[in-house]
Amino acid sequence: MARYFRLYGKKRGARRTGSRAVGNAAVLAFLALALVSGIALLAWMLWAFIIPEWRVNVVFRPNHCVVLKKRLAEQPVDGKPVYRPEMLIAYQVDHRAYETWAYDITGVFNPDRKAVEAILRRFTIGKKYACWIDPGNPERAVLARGYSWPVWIMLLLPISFITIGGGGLVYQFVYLGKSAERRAALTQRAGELDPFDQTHLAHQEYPSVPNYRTVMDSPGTTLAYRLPPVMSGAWALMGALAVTLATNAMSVLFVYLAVDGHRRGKPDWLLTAFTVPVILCGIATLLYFVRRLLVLGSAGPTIVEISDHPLFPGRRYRLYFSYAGQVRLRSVEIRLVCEERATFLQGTNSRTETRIVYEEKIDDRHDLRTESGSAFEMQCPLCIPPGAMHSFQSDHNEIAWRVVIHGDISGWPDFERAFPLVVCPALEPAT
Amino acid sequence: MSDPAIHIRLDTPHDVLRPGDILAGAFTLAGVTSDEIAAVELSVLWHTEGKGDEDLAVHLFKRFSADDGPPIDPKHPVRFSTQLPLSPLSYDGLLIKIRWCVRVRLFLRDGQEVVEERPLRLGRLPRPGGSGS
Repeated sequence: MARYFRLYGKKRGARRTGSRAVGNAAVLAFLALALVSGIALLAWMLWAFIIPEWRVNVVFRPNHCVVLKKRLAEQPVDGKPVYRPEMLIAYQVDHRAYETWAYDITGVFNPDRKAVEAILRRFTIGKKYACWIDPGNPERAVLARGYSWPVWIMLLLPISFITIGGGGLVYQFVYLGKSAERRAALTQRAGELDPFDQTHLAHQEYPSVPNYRTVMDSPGTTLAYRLPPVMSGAWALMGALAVTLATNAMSVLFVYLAVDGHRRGKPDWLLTAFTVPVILCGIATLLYFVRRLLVLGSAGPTIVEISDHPLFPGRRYRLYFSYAGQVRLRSVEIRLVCEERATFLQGTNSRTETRIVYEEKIDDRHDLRTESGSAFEMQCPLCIPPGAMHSFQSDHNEIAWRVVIHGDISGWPDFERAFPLVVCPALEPAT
Repeated sequence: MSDPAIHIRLDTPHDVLRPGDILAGAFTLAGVTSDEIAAVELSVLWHTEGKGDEDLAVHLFKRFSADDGPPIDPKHPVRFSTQLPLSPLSYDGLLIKIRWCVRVRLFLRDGQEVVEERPLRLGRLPRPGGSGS
């Protein structure tokens, strides 16, 4: 059944989401404003600061002058005075005498009076100083050269406006009024032309399957390929470190305030009482962080290799697992997991929901005995079930396969490490 | 005159195709005259449904524009044919569903758009958990 597209947005409850045309016009107006503002700001900064300073440093000719007078120029800005140093200098160009008030080319005023007075003190009336003269206008001279680096850093502001506004307008004009399919076709074509993106080579064979060639770049020592681990443990450790630093910084502050009160003979007993649990909290987080650090260090390195890659549903493979940690491994469980990950916008936040759609215990070993200094090694068969979905990756949706190693090590918390696999679609003969 | 309509017909008798199969068919337009048609877009595409934001990719995209080419004759069936890719397969997951379809979009000179889809399945994957689909 054919359907018309609505002139107005979809109705949600008692309200409409608004007109798409009006929304597009608002976006275009915003981007155009950003672009025009950026260009105007950049032009003003070039005219007022960048070009004059460049001319002073490159074009102006060196000369000598005598300081006749000096003064602290002052003017109000927002009700508060700002200052700049000014010297009346005398100099000659081509046997002609000139007198002018001068210091730098930008004429910028400074709210720091002491800093400006310090500049004035550097110049003595009647003494000779170096100056630089504008060859196109000899009445224009300066006593100070150089670049105002804050101005150059401020250039980031108009450049950001121009990039956002200009880039956004180009994007809008390329995609505005085009159907979702046409936009997708344009985007795909642009991606294929990117010389630095090699993922499309794998995508030409299996579109939307993640690039499996990255795994094949890492050969194994026992089986064909070594699987790269997912670095989830490192992020947890960084989080523990952040919490440890925060709680211990708070402990130090509370201890300082409490001890200082006692030292001055004005003890704050409520603060002192509150400091004790804060210190205990700091010690607990520190112990937790050290424990995690030791687990991460003692549990590795963990190596997983596979006999072939990418994998196909219904086929059998060999999996090799090696553990060479300092602490003895008591038991290990190896699981094959397939997980769906869906990313969606909720309000202004991007959220990701995950759901395990397949999980199988491949192997488990208990009461492991390894000689001191030697690694624990094992091999087991691995089969992607027939009829299983292949790995899939798009901008907001993903189906990911992985091997999960769960280890129990003596006297330490269990560790778990994941190793991604790429599963391609089962090869069916075409009709 | 009746409302503008699009009719899509596939050459295959069933909607389930294997990766690498040739997908062929034709579409016709009804309820419009040649002068009213600004452009027609034909796409063979997949898109996602479910919890995540929608992703869409086109496998075949053709645009017939009356401004850039000869006038589009609505009475004349437009044939299409393409070899389907090896992936992604149609999928009915718990959070993610992948749908394949042939989509024809008709742009009329008065600004109206009419769109018609013909769903199809690429591959025969069962639903996760073995409940089938």
